[in-house]
Amino acid sequence: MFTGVSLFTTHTTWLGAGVIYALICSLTYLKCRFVIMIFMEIQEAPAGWRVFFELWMIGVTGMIVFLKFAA
Amino acid sequence: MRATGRLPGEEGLWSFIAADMMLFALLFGSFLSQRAAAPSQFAEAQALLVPTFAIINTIFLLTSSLFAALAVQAERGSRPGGTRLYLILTIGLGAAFLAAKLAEYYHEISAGVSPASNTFFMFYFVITGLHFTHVVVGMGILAFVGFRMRGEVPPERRQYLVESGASFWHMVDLLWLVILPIFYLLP
Amino acid sequence: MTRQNYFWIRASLLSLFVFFAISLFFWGILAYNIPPLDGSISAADLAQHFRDHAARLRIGYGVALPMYALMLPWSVAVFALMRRIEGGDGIISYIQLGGGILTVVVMSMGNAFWLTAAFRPETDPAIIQMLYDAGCLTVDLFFGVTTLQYCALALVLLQDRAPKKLAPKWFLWLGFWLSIEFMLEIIMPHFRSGPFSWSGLFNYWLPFFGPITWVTVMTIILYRSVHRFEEEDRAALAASSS
Repeated sequence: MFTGVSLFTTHTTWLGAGVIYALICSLTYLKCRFVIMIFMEIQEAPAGWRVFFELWMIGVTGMIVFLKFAA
Repeated sequence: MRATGRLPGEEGLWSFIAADMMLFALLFGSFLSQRAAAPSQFAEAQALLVPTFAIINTIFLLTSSLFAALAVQAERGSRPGGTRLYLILTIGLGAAFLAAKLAEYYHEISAGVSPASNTFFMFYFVITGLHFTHVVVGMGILAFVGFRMRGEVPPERRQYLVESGASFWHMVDLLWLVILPIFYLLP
Repeated sequence: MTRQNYFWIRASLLSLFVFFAISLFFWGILAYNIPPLDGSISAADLAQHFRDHAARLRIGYGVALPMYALMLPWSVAVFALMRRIEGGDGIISYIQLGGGILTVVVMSMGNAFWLTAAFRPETDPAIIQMLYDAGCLTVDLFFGVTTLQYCALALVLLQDRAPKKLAPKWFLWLGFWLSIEFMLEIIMPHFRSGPFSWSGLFNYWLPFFGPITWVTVMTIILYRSVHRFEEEDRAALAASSS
């Protein structure tokens, strides 16, 4: 499902680039969150590990968002 | 049923997973900061990639992670039998990923692209190449798990093995989920 | 083990720190390796660097080179302790020993190339560059022996059956990761500039300083473990004489 939306976003021309960018970032974050919390079962893990993974997701998504504007 | 508040499988493996994730985060950051410094060059290079390969590979890996999770569920007894089949499916989809990736590399190299072409492709080949290696290792771990589960093995040990193998595999999937947008999708 | 053996084991473990201090000063600071010269430096600039600083480079490399030998008693002491833990006819301790000895050879060889460049820097810049490259490639691509060494060490410590483990699992698995991470160096010969080159983030800073930190902590752990083995020996001696 997420992949379908990703595919959709690469072929859409009528949405502005900024909107697509935001969409891709949020979808990436959600997909990562799903794999981490559900598949890797981190939602059941000790607090320290949950914090680590949250920070990782936020950090990586944050890099994708903010480094676009660094130049 | 297992208790909550713990990590699945071998606890030491999670340090390994965390360190690997930090390395890739560093690689991603390195790529993204270079991209910010030369956006049009990177966009030009990105145009040479074919996103279809990556979308197909995403489907392969996400589905393989699903099967790995199902294998873990099977061992915990909430689904009847089938761990072996799920592991085989996981590994099989991993192999499909590798085949598609190799086909993509072949396509790119035939088009005259290489790690030396420009900074974009340097990062592309190094990061996806490193990921490729992780897929191979992940498949090896799962095969090892399958092998070790033959014969009389106590249930806790079986769970431990499958959970450990699946955890590493999910990390491999997770890394790909970031590789997909940063190289293929971002406008 | 006799009391004298424990003295040599402790002293040999500490030799690692003596080596680090000497290497940091002579190789790192005097010989301009921390931070490293940029991987993209031209032959002309490199030759000029060697000519301008020849005496200092000779001192730096010339003292650092023989001091790599201090890693030898350290590896042997680690082997002796590992053998206690592994027990029986276990071979993994020997893999650590072999890896440790070969690491001494490898690091020394790399430095020998650099020392040679500093010895006669008035020679053709292309030759200087080739010697410099040879040193970098040697030190970076011989990682296999060091990977095996650290993996063997972590593996045996994981097998430690004592009630109070010497090192936590997460630390040992981190050791596995750090030593396997060396494998990224395989791509280093393909890049003369950037983060994957000899001087880059991923092929210089990370693989040097990550493992050094780990090995430092590991050596401290092992040094403090000698006390435990002494206790075991005393207890065994008391039991057998009573």
